Amino acid sequence: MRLYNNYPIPSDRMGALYALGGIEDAYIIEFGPAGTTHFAIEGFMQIDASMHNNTYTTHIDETDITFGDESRLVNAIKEIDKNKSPKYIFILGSTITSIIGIDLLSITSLIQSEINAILIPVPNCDFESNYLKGYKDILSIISKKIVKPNLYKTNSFNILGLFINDYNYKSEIEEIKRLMKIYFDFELNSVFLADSDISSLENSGCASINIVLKSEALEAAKHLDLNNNQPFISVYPLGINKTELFLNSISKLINKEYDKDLFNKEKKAFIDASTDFKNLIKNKSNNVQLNLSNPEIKNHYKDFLSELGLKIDNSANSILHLGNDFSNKDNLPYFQISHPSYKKINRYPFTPYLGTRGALYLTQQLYNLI
Amino acid sequence: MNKINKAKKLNQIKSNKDILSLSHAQFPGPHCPLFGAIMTASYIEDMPVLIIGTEECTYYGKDFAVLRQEKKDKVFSAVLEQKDITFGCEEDLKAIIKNIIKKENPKALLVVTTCVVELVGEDVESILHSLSYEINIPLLIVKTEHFKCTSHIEGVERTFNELYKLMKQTSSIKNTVNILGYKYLDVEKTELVENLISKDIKINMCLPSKSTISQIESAANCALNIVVENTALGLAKKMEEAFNIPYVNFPSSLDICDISNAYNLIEKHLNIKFDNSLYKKSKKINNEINLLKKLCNNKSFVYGNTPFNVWDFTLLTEKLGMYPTILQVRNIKNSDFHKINSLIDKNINPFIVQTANIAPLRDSYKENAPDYYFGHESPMLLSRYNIKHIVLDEAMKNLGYERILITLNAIKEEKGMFSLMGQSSKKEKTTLAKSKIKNIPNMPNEIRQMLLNMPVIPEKMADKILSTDENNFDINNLMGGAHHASI
Repeated sequence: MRLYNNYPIPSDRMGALYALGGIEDAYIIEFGPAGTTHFAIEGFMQIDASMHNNTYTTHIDETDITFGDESRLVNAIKEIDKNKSPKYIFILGSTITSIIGIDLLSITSLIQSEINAILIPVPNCDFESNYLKGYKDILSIISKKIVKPNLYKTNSFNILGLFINDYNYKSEIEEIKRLMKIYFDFELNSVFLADSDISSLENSGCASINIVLKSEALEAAKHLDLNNNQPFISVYPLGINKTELFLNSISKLINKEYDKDLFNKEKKAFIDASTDFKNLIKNKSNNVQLNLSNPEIKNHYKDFLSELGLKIDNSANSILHLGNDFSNKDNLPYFQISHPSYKKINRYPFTPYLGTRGALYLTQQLYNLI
Repeated sequence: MNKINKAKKLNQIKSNKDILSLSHAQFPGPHCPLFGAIMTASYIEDMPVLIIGTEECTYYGKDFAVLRQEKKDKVFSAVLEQKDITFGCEEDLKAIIKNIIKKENPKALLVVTTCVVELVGEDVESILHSLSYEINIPLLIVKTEHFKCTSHIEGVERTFNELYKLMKQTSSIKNTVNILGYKYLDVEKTELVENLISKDIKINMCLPSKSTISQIESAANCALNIVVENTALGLAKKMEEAFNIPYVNFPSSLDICDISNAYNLIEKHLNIKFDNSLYKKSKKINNEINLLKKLCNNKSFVYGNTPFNVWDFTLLTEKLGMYPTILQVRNIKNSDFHKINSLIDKNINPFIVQTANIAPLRDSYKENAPDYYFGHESPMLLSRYNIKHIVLDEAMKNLGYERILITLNAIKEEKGMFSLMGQSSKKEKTTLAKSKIKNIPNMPNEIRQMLLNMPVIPEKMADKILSTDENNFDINNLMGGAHHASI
């Protein structure tokens, strides 16, 4: 049993819902107490997202639990299939159905022949893993069951591992699109899984390459590489060094040079700003508080902050706080990099944290806070 | 009306079993008792609350408290792991409770158990009992398993009933009252409390929204309990039995006579006389009803999820000449049947369906759209069918005749979801905004229609429209802030 005074870290089931929430026309049926679904729908508001009104609950009561009765789920599946005619229906259990041993795989296999939609059971929660496993499960499912392998490839790419729960995802998509267009003349095909839809994911097989941003997407990327001839790179382009690594990796992957002069021009703008930043903090503490639950992204921030001469230290004598609306307990100058958000929205898609523009933008914003 | 025909009509309703849900797949589904317990307990200023459950339950419980209490909440989470489910969590839980008490030094602690704890049969009540030999503060428990009940109401009721355990026998103090069941801020601005204060009546405690553990302990220091929401009725009855404190059930109803009778009872108990100007408000209500009849006569409506008692609300709208086509109902109590029969006598006979399942109702609007929808729904969706959307949350914050007047005003001004964004703009601003809306080329038609249908556009929204570039319209910018109130 773990005690939290702050927010607990979201579970694997919550991660699966965040991931599916990035697919506009995904139909989801949850077999469990209705309150969980209702809470989840309202929880999406704190990340300024919508579950697109295609998420349903069956509710469950004592009788269902006592007798292991799954008829509520079967009836709900048949009803959605008949009334909404979706291509796929994702079936989620709940903590209760996990404990009483409801086997979603068997149920969906048994009734699949009566249903037009393809039923996709999502793995049960295991009471141990966090939301990152939910991301991984859903990405793996999408790559195996939804993406249609395609021999014909276009000069396009998919992004794997960006979710609606990533605070700045809209801007990150735009910056990666910009980098890929101006340096390699590649177009964006699909984002797994943010601002996406079923048809775009089905057709993502014609992209030439995949860009993996989080390690939770590696399994899906490997599957697509093996089964759909889509090689991938895995770089999170936060900061100027990793952006350069990102461009070099793409260049090597597609065997195409990029415009180094243009990159150096963009890099110089960052170097100038970071020099000013370093001068600004010369006689100040170089500690920064960082609040992020994903250790991998935390490390990326650590590397980027070192480009500015900063180091992570969660003590109160830090000069800045990078986190969310809730985490800035010491009331330091504060920059938001994660959810939840209570009163703010973040929809304007041209303020990236990633890429060359992201490195410059972050430096500028942090400078102005000090 | 496709699926709606599966529902029973009002004159066929004999018990809760007759209130059908129109579909097996529900959207969004009712809230659970955990929501009710947190909504109530997190208001108590110095009460730490420990939620025991999965990450999901504890995360959302915390999230709700943070939002409601503007980050001043004292909600802790004890998250269950696989080993706790298999082998039990007694030792861990005891250590966690001791840890919280050591750090917070509270006067009491409220423990909330959730579905999984109750499903695996962890006897938290006994664990708390055994801890009581080591810890000298009251340990309260509220069980909130959703698989045994239908909504969040049980969570609210159970929390009120548990708080009774903190109360101590004291002597009652003349001219002092408790307000029980008020869940909003600024109780002193309500008609009821303003009038009590004007007669030198002191408010001992307002539970839960303005209360501390000490105040709850000395809740018996009053001459009268005024119950303003039915969920607190059980607590008032317990206090009457234990401390001999009478109570008045001040109606959450929208009936003038009920409110007048309650005011009369309060006068009697406290030996005071309210000013005549208070009772004159009933005349004002009748005048407003007569005026509003011209606008509303023979108009149909669907009643959604609002905080009102559905039957009281329908009786009020009947006076306006309106008639419901569908009423969403949580449950029926025996005491509701005289109101139901009164509606049937007036030839009001709508379909009755379960609350919190709006998905199948949406399908019915294609064939039979009502004139009005009362309650939370998607404003875009309703505007697609030219349904006027009225949200009544503001009215619930007041107590007394004013609640009816605010309700009537909301109908008159057609206050929809966007009214929750702030005050309505002045008419001139609305007129200017509307003429600009007509000239914004890339505004989606359903949004244009919705805005043009609004009698008064909320000020923040009108400002955004007036400052927007006509050729660069951004829907996200316009709707910002409203998304938090969309369900």
